[in-house]
Amino acid sequence: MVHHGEHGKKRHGKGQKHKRLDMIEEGGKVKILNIYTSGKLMQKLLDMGFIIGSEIIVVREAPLRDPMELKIHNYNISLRKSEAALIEVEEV
Amino acid sequence: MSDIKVALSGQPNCGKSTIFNMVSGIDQHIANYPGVTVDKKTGHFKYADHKIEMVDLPGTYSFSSYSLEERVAKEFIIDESPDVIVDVVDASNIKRNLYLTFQLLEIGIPVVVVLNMMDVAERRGIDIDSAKISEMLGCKVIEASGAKGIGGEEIMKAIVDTAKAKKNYEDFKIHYEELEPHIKAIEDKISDTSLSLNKRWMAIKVLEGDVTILSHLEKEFPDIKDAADHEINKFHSLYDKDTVAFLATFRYDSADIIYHKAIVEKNAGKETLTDKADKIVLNRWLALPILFAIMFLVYQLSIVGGYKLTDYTWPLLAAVKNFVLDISPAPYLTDVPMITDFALWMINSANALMNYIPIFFILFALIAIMEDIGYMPRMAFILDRLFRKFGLHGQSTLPLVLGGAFVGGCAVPGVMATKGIADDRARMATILTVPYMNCLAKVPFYTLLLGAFFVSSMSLMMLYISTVTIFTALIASKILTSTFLNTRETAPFLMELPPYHAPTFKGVILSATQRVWVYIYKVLTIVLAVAVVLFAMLQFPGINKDTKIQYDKELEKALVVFDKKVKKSKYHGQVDTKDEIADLLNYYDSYRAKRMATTSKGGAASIDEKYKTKNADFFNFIKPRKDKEAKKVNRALRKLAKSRNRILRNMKNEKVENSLLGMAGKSVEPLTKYAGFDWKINVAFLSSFAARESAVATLGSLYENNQADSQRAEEAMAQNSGYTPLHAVAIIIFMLLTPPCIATMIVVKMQTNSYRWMFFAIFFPVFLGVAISSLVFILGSKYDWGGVEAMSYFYFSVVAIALALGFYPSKKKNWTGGLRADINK
Ligand SMILES: Nc1nc2c(ncn2[C@@H]2O[C@H](COP(=O)(O)OP(=O)(O)OP(=O)(O)O)[C@@H](O)[C@H]2O)c(=O)[nH]1
Ligand SMILES: [Mg+2]
Repeated sequence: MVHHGEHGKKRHGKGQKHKRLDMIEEGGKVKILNIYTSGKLMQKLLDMGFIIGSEIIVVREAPLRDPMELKIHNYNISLRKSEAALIEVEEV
Repeated sequence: MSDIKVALSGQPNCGKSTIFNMVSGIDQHIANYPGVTVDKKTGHFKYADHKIEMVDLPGTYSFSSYSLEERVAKEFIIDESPDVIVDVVDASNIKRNLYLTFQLLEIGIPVVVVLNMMDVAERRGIDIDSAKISEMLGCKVIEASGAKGIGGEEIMKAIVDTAKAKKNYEDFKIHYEELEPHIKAIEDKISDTSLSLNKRWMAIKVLEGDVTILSHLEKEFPDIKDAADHEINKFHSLYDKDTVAFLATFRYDSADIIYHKAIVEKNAGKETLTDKADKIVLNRWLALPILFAIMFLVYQLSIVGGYKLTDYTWPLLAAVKNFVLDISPAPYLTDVPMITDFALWMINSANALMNYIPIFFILFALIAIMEDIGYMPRMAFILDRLFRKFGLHGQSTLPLVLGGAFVGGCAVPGVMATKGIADDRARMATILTVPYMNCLAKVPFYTLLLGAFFVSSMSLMMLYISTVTIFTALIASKILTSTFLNTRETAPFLMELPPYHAPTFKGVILSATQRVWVYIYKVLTIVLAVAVVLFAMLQFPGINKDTKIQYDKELEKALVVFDKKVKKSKYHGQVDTKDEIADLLNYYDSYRAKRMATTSKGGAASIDEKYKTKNADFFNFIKPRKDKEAKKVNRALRKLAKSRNRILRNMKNEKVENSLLGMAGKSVEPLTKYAGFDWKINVAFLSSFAARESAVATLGSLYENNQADSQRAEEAMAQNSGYTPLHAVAIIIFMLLTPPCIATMIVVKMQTNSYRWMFFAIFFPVFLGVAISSLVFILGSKYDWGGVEAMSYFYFSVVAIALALGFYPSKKKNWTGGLRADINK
């Protein structure tokens, strides 16, 4: 269990490796651990290469902070944060 | 000698249409924007005695049939069973593209893989061993570069060879390990199907829950769905795996194997040119300024520049008009033959629209450049957050821009550009809000009203008018998406940001010409058809006999005056019969029209020459120079022409007032009077439905002053209408919200595929327009607002409402998900 101190309301403890994709900052490199969705969105994510184990680089956020631009399988794609929040990743 | 049917398949933006154009020689719209081709296009060509029919299918990332494009593509494969599938692969993005290749190979139809964009791959230092790929996939692999015209011959040869060797084709098979028994189970179940498709493929599709295949199979096996669910659940309980994810992962892994065996990326991880450019174009601080700068540039070049061009093209249109008038029967004094009237009406309606062609051409060329370069998806990326708040989509940007969001445009291409929007609700909302944008044809109408009532604050009013539209559109979209469109499906926003491409000159010109052609063809044919109806509605029942006698008397009087004046001239003998006078009047009118259409000195001289040879005597009257006797005739003639025009105009106004359209305008007066509209305004709005320009023409002719001929329409309207600036504001507001023109309605029907939505798109704005302009007019009358004051209140209320609505959250529908609680914090 991760300890959330008073100091970091939003930040996660150092020991925690699992994060949501939308929390990763620009330049971050992560690996997909799990995708918590189903149906149409799941199919679409799979088709675009969001497969467990795939590597993602967070390229940037849009000027209005949403959506985000990612590099996956060596191409660039944009994804809204609401969807990115369904993808569990670990930093590599 | 045989016919070969070929399906061209591949992921969006991989260059299918470019390859299609290269081999078939047919020109299709090409753009660097995922999802440009939605309908399928067919081309026929010959190669080595074979007739080849090639169908350019819409781009699909996968074959899972969740999207419209995928359904179109799959239904084609099922219904038409092509002989060969050509799979276009973007060589610079090979792994994701191979994911689709595996799905195509499984279908059981011979595949030819075309590695397109080899030039890009080379530039990026990607070495591809195509022989190795060919060996691993068991199909032909051709290297090509569509944009450079490389590889067409080889592709055609591969198609023919593959089709010939069809009988020897060995089914491609991925061994799906632990899923195999379940595939087998379904395969056995459907073993005696009458469908001629590959059974293993159908079985796999069934396990993927593919709606298209399931519904085809359900006819023969009513319990196929239960069987599928049974296998899917069994697989899940045995291995804790989801079949859909399992299959996708397996295919990506297979693609990965090929990638590692056949491809070497020398510059892997290095920054590409696109990466560098995006650091600026999508920079947090620079992105929005750059976007607005580009918009401004588009505005300057197309609207401002294009308007200047119309100075040069207008004489051409005027010449066409004069030609038509020349060949129509000439009027006899105040008896204008109906056919001439009709010809004039039609040519005026057409010309008003044709006048915009230079503007559209420039606008569409610039948009084609932006599409080709790849800026459009980036624009969607930058603005998505904003649009989403109002139920729209990042991809609504292009339709709104075409419709005139920033610069003035036309709703017809705007509505047609909504095709590519993946999210159904946002697409519908975009279709229904694009018509609120500033249509170029409304501009003359605003200019007329502003010129009449707001001379001193024209620029402020114009600023209000041109910027309020985007806010009204946002409000309308928000209202629609949270009410009428509430239950529509939405789609997740996963949009590829393709690498930048240099636009090709040919591609840009082609795309601009095509869109302009669509405008000419669709708009003109429909508008002209409606113009016919309107003409009839304005002609009948016509003037009654008594008043006609009245007008004839007036004419007699004018003729008597004329005769008295020319009697003193020695030329009296040439103009002392009615026939002669009628001829002279027509001669005079047509000369003036021709002179007005030319600007050059040489042109004027040649017209003079022509008229001199036509009738030297008459020419002497219209250009008497030093001939005193002729001058007398000239003066009398001008007076007579004026009187005749006055009579004609009065007759026309009376005709309009008594006409069916006039009656319609009057019958809705009780309703529109709250907004301050009288029947004349109503008639103008009714006729503007056919084409916006008609509004100005109608109002102009209704308000023209009877005495002073030289008065401009603006002045005439200000003096003769009895309106206050507040009236004008109510009229402007209605025009801002007014329903789209007929041509737009037709494309709305095409894009929504429903008459219900078409009628909705007509009546919703009418209701909104009448309600809001009435509100402003009633409040304004009560509190004695001035025109600018009323407009300011309206403007700032709209902006405030739009901002407030932006904070009201919109829900996403029809897809679920949620993260485990422990990291969802
Ligand atoms: N450099 C390069 N660019 C290419 C090549 N082939 C196509 N393009 C460009 O790639 C972009 C997309 O081409 P399209 O032919 O419209 O792609 P498509 O697959 O038909 O796209 P959709 O119909 O949207 O699925 C255009 O800007 C083309 O000019 C190529 O071989 N090399
Ligand atoms: Mg295409």
